[in-house]
Amino acid sequence: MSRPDDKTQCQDLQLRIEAFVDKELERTEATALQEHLEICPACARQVRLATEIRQELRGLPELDTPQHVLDSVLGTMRRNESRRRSWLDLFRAPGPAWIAVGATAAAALFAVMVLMPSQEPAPPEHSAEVEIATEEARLAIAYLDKLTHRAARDLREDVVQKRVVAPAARGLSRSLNAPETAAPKSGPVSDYRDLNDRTRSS
Amino acid sequence: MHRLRRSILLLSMALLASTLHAQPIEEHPGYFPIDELQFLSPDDLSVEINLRGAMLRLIGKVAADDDPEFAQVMKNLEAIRVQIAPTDRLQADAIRKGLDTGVTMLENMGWYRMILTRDEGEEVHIYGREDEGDLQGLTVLAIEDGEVIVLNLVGRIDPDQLGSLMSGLDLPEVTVE
Amino acid sequence: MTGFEAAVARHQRRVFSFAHYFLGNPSEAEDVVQEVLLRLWQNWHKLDAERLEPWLTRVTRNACYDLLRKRRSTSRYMVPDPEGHATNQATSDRPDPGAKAEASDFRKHLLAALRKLDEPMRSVLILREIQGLKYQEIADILEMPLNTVRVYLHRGRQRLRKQLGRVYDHVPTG
Repeated sequence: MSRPDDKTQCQDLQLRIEAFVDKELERTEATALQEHLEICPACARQVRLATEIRQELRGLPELDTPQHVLDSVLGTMRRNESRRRSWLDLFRAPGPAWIAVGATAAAALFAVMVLMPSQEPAPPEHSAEVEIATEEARLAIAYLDKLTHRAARDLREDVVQKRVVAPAARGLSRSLNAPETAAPKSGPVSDYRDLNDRTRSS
Repeated sequence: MHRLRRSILLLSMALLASTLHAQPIEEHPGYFPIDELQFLSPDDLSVEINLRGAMLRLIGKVAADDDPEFAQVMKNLEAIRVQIAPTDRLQADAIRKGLDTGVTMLENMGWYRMILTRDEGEEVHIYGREDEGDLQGLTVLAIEDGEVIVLNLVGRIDPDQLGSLMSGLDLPEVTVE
Repeated sequence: MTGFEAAVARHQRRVFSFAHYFLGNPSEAEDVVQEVLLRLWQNWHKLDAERLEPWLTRVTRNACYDLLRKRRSTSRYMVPDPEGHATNQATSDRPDPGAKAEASDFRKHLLAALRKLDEPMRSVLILREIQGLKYQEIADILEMPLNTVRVYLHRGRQRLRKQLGRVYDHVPTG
């Protein structure tokens, strides 16, 4: 019989099974889940099912469009293109021939304008593309920000704390004739206050 | 006729633009060939960003009213390239080799090290490339928070502008349910 | 062969496959392909070759989604069909190019479960698991953050697992 905490653990792990199958879990989480699977046949079955689903989906083939559909589409496009070219040829015809066309040309112009590729403004997809690209650019800058902050913090702890604050603390304690105190461990600068307290109390 | 005139205008603009930006990006002093590091395959990547001059200028144009600082940085850049992969998709020695190769390449190509930090398995290398007195490129190679990050900014970079831009941005939380 | 014809030859499989797996109905999938290729023709001179594939996928997905919503709004006046039997019957009237692919029982149930998923989980699953796109490509097409793509992918697969678990008696604990 399963205990209440086993059931909670199973429920909790249900949400992580797909990430486990995709090898996207942090190492410690993955190890914990693996250990649970060794003692929980129900969850192990779920992992097998999740794996089978993934494999089956990934094994599904790409399918060819039926030829009659492609023939129909390309046939329509070719007819439209040849009508458009015929109309442009008419524009390029010598003056007298063009003048002679008259009303027929006006009707053909109407037909071709309907069939020609559209001249309307760029489709919304372009605006969406710029939005996505903007988010990507912001993400890149955000990563740069994170890494430089991290580097600056490390520098502060490593350089400032160890090489500036600690020697200054030792110098201060010597000048106050206090017993030699060890340099504070690396950490936030607020640790320095602890050093002062120890100095005063001794 | 209108269509022909429009085509000629567009062609002229394209030719003018191509004259102004004739240099292939690979020849820009701030360009770093992150693909040549070869330790991140496309399947490993959780993030891949590859933005080039024309799109960056368009981003700058669109952002100009709402975020002029961001717009200005974008307008001066020629490329932003980023590749990020979770470390648990890669072998540790491959990551080490990739980073070491990257650092060697940067130094051989004349980039100078701006920042190097290492702490408990995480490290950040930030390199800069100057040309004619201006910062023309930034390259970052890093392992942090379970990710390998390779980043190259190409173009004229004003450190003050970039600095003031960075203070306002947050990374999205990355969690997997 | 013109540039447009070459593009059709190159991309038709991806477009049709997405529509087929999304809708589960070959004649509707064919309608979607015609509509998508018509839009491609109309926008051909404005499109950047490098962005063609994501553009096509986005347009295909939107066309499928519109058809799905239309299908749902007309079905209010029909007998409820939660198991999708009507769709399956429609497919049996026409030769189904995917019939061989759907041979196995597990696969049949899997595809039926896929067609019950809500959007955008259905699209995310097809793009990632069947068509092998990267997370970033999917985020680009569906205009959502990368992390959100991951969340929808895992939720979609959890739902498939629950559906198939009932069918195959893999009832989860808890």
